[in-house]
Amino acid sequence: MINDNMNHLIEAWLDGTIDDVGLAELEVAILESIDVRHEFWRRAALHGVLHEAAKIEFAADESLAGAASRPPRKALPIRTGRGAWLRGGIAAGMALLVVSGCGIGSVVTSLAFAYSGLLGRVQQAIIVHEEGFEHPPAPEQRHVPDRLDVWSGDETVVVGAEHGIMPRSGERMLKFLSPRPQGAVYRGLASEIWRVIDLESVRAAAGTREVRIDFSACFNGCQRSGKPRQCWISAIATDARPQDLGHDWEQQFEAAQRNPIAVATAQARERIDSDPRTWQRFSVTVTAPEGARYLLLHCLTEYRPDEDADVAAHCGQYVDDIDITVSAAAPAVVTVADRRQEVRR
Amino acid sequence: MTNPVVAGVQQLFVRHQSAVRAFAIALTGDFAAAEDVVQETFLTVTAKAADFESETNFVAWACAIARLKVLENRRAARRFSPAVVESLAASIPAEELGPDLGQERLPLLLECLKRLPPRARELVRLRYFLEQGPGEIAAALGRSAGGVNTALLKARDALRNCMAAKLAADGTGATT
Repeated sequence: MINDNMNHLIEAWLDGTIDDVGLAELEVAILESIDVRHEFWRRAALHGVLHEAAKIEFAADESLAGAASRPPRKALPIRTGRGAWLRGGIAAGMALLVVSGCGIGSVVTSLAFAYSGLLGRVQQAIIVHEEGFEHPPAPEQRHVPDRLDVWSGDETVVVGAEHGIMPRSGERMLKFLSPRPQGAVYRGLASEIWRVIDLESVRAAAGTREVRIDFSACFNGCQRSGKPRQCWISAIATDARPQDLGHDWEQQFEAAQRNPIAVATAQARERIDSDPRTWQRFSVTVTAPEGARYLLLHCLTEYRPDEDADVAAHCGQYVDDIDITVSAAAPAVVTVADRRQEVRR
Repeated sequence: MTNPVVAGVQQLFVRHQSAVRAFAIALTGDFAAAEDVVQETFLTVTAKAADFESETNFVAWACAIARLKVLENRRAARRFSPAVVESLAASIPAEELGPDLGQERLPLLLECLKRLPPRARELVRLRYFLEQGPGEIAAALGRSAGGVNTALLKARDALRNCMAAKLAADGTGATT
């Protein structure tokens, strides 16, 4: 029979509050008593599965709960910096507001206002899109999408853990396969995906015309040569229609200089290492001017024909946990950011 | 081609990660350190996939690897001695840390979480979702650390009882 003191010591160990004396007492009891060991595992099993359950249960209403609280969707390896990309400071009510039918259709799309009661301050942000590739549909393979709210681009495949790489969170991630959409024949040196979002529906939720967009994505890869690969993300707020963006989206960077009323761009580019244990987060912030109607998001990884010709069967380049949030922006000039937050243990 | 043995073992790992993670959390007493252990375990499981005998217990095999990673891990502030780690690893009850932890008990626990009284539910959120320690929770809520410890213990007991009741009900339902 286990006494209350031993139960408290086990719980204190699991909660990280045990002191040296208590630890010594618990260790002796574990070594001497099979009953204590059994009770330890009984409590530890609940402790472990409760951690997992909480990540699932509270993720929906807490996904933006403040600077100290960004959790993985479902705990899987790779530790991350905590919510450094999230900014707050705008008072709002304590509420979870999931808006559907606002024109941003996706299984994982939601608009959420979250409140950080722990920190004693209220923070508001709007999740425009969270993409972990956990749910269908997989990205289309039609280059830059000509319609809203779908991922589209070069040949990719949604995969689970493989070749020593685990999804950054959840059970799936996106693998880049080639530098062209399936069936296309041209050569290329980059494998890319895009998504277009209608900023008007975002503005309606944010309550301001000028909005600040935080866009981040995590990359990983393990090249056979060990040479680092270049990856980048871009966010382009533009007045160009989706169907017009396919051919000249790159020119938006020049357009931003010419027409800051309607166009703003931000891009982060960096080489990622070939260590499969590390995911590296790329982040950009762009302030969408009032005249910009659409937001084009872009994730790219360098493609090397000599190494990647049969990448479907080998380790390659991966992206996971793409997040887009919007908040009301203070009046600001066009932002061209080049920031990077590396995710390492 | 992807090695089917490696792929199969990785799928097993994903399927049974709840048990491996619970094992790591239990022996490290630290969520962050446990994540490191799980990560390192996955890499080793992948590297040693050919050593796994398909008719044997995958969770036991993975936890044996995780045990070594726990011993190597220096992250947690307080650690069990190697002898205690070995003793605990050698006495895992299959009914507590078996394959059904994630597949059967996790859904039950999610149901029970929804039924928890609001204050207890908030404690669980702070402790397990935000991964705050009882001291941090006490400071944030203006309560004593001892009070938080006791409340957490009660919350976990309530969840355990709820799960037991559900399991019993399911068992009754299955036999009648």
